[in-house]
Amino acid sequence: MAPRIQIDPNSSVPAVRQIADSLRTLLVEGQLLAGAELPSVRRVAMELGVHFNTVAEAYRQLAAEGWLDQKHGRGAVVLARTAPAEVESGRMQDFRQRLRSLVAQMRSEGVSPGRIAIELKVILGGLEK
Amino acid sequence: MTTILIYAQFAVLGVIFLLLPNITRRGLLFAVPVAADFRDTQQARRAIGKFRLAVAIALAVGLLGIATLTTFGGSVVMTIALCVATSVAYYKANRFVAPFAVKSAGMRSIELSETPERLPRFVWLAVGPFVLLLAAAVYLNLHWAQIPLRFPVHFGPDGTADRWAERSIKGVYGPLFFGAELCFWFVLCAFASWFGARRTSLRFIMLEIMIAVAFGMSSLFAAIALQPLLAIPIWVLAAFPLCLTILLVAFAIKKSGDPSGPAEKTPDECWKGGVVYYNPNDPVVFVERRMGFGYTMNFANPWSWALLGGLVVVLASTPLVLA
Repeated sequence: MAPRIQIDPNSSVPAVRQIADSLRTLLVEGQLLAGAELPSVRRVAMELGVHFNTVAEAYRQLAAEGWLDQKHGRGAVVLARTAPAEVESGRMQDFRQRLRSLVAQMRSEGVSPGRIAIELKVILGGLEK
Repeated sequence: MTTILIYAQFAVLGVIFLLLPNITRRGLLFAVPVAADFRDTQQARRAIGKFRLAVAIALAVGLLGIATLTTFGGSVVMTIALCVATSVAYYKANRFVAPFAVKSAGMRSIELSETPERLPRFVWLAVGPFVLLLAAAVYLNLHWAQIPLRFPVHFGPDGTADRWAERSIKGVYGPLFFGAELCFWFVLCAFASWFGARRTSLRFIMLEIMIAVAFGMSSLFAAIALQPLLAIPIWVLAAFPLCLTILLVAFAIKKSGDPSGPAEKTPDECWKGGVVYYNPNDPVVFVERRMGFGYTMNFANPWSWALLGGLVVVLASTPLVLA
């Protein structure tokens, strides 16, 4: 089954971030391999019901991160990307803060710490495959 | 026979209006997204009952009006009155059901498949209507001498001719030109609905319907053009679009009851009165309609206006191509 990206139009998270995050997850988890062609900006925009510029911006962000090679007037191709050797300490702090916010939100909505730990292990297990 | 057809056309229109709550997905009622089992509730039955009562009264008054006025203009006035009464009843039903609306927009997704999608094979049938019109033109050309010098082109409600055309290029081939223009517009819309709508099963159905309608129209205009030679009874020509409409409505009701495939997710706030879709952020030209079956245009998309402009051009060309 081909991988899918999805967005929630009712979410407070901007559509451009939802698309970029969704694609990045597929890329990191290896569901989209190097050489895979992504659909055109036009097609993704039409299916998701968002403006062309929103999808183009998400593709641009991932191209800037080294994940995609954008083709003019067409879709994008997944690149064989080597992860950066070291993450800057400031960036790491930013990630930690985002993780803390997410965990806090999960706790406030009734998810137990044990369940959060299981979910994190499942995600990490998927990345190590 | 023509008088009976006028009554029949009016009655069929009324029946279509009465069936409007059925010609839509179960998740929609009077263009309001509702829970699938809402139709079985007392409120839903009350809304449908009130709507049908209003339409039935308008239909009965209209039939009486046509019988009293006995002119073609009278039937036109009564048809407009029926449409207005139905619109008012529909709007009232929409407002009545609105408090029971459920949030329709959920997650939207796209499969990142590499395989490009191709047009269905049956799309070649879109050439058919033009071949039919061309064949009629060739037949008329071969039998030119047999065409009367003056022949009727318009008939009153009692079936008597009230407008005539002469045997000229415009008089003989005019209906074929006009039919070709209309068919071209329909085929253009069929392709626009394929490339300008989201990939759902409705796209296939609409492509089939629009090509079928183009076939129906080309048959009608070919028959009108051949009328001076073949003397096709006028009631046959008048009954043809009526039969085509009945077939299309029956098809729409059948397809609306098909539970396969979820309804297209469009933001509720972009629907004006549940009928007009206006979403500048949505790049599609056609979206699944909430009232009735099929597609409606996204009026925030310039291509929608270009297509409507095309229809205006076709209709405006009537005095140029028809005698």
